[in-house]
Amino acid sequence: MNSLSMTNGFTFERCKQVIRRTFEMNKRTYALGFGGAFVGLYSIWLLVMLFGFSPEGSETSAMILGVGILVYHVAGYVLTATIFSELQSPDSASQLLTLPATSGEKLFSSWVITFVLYTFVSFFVLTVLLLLMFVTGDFFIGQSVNLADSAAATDPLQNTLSYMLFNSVFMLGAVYFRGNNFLKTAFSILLFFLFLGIQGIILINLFGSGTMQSFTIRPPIFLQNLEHAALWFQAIYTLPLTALFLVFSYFRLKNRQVV
Amino acid sequence: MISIQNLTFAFKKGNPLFSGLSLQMNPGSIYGLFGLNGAGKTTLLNHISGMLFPKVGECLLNGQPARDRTPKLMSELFIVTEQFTLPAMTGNTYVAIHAPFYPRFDHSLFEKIITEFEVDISSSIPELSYGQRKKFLIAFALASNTAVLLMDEPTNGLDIPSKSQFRRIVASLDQSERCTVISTHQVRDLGSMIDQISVIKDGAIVFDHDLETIQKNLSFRKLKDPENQDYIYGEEILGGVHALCRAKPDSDHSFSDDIDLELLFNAIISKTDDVNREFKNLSQ
Repeated sequence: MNSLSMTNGFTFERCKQVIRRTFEMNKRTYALGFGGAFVGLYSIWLLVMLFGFSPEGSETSAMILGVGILVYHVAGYVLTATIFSELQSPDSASQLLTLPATSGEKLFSSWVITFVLYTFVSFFVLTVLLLLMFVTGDFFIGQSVNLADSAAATDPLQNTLSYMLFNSVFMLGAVYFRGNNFLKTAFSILLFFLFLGIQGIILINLFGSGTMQSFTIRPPIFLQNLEHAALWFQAIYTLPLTALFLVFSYFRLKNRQVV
Repeated sequence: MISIQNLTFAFKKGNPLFSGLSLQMNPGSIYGLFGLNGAGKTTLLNHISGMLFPKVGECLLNGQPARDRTPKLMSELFIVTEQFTLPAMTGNTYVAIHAPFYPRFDHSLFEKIITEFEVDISSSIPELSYGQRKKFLIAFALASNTAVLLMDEPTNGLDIPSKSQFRRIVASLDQSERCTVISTHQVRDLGSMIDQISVIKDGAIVFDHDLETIQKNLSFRKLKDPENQDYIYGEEILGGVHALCRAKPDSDHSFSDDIDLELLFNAIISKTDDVNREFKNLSQ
């Protein structure tokens, strides 16, 4: 490949090269993860169907896809938290810190791999799994699997939105903490929600009617008339929050020094 | 090229490692950066490469703060750290991915060096031995043709033939546009390559001269009768004292033109003012 243009601003050409680098460094872990999850989930489904633990094929498939979605979230956060693993050791930090690319390009590449590519491949794998369960169930086990019912259990848009938000939080954790990034970020999130919960309880006891009902957050009136109001509402708070966490991550990465 | 002005830096909760350190490094020279363990050689290289930020003062590369780490600046700098972990990929993939970031990367030079070093770049990098990985990184660094090349203990982990290969390769390269900084303890291995000596002590650069100036001002002699001789610093050897003297050869001494870097370094560390006085006297 020819050399890249070395301007100081963001360039897609250079960004593509950083994405390629990030992909090359992580492809083995991702391939093992996807392969393991696929085989594991399909094996569980097969065992349940063959040994008759569940009479209903669609129900079991929906449950397996639900577990798949849970794996999508948890594994994705673990992988996101380790995406800047080079920064955790002075031995490898120089490889990333002195790489001639902007911090924006480095962060964007990691986001593309841990969110865009990861989500695309995850849902592709879940679709293949569903089709395989459908084919195996119908033709070999004699249990029909309803594709639409099972697929509905995955709720892809809502899950993608919530993954996007937490992905950006774990991305910040990946550049912020020095070691055990997943656990430290997860613990920080837990502490944050614990703090919010305590605040909520105090507020309810001080000003509310004593029940959580009076403090439930509902979509604004203008959204309530729309179809999929909850999804729109989720998108409205998810997108700016995600952007905010990514901006924090950018500044943290820009000012990151060798340990 | 590299301009460090009034650099002050301390690690958290520690005493300042550098206090008002200033240094100028220009293209066309290979600088030997020396200092005792913990003097801050690696930390200084990390400042030059923008991986650490000064608390006070600035570290400039081509007039731009190194801490900005802009792509243009970083495409003109390569650092070979003493301890390093390279990404888990084959050598070929590493080159295919990283070489485009360096506009003057010379693939034929890389092939030549890697062939001389006998490193198999089709293997996965983590599967190579430490020495092989180091040779791979050195080959990449030299082929990148960056204006600034920083090397922290480059010959650590190399076998004896590889050390001489390394010296030969570096000597064969055109260094006129490049500023190379080598931090090392192994002065015997690399002394012949270096043409400017910088010594860090107590948070500052206490000695910074090129070999020509050193040769004009100092001489390295074996004194058979040290009691009656005047010298700046000496170390006992069989049959006399190996001494650092003023550059005035006496008929009494066996005289050597070669600079003994180890003796010079020890003299600078233990008698900094005495050594520097020789340079001040002659410049006045």
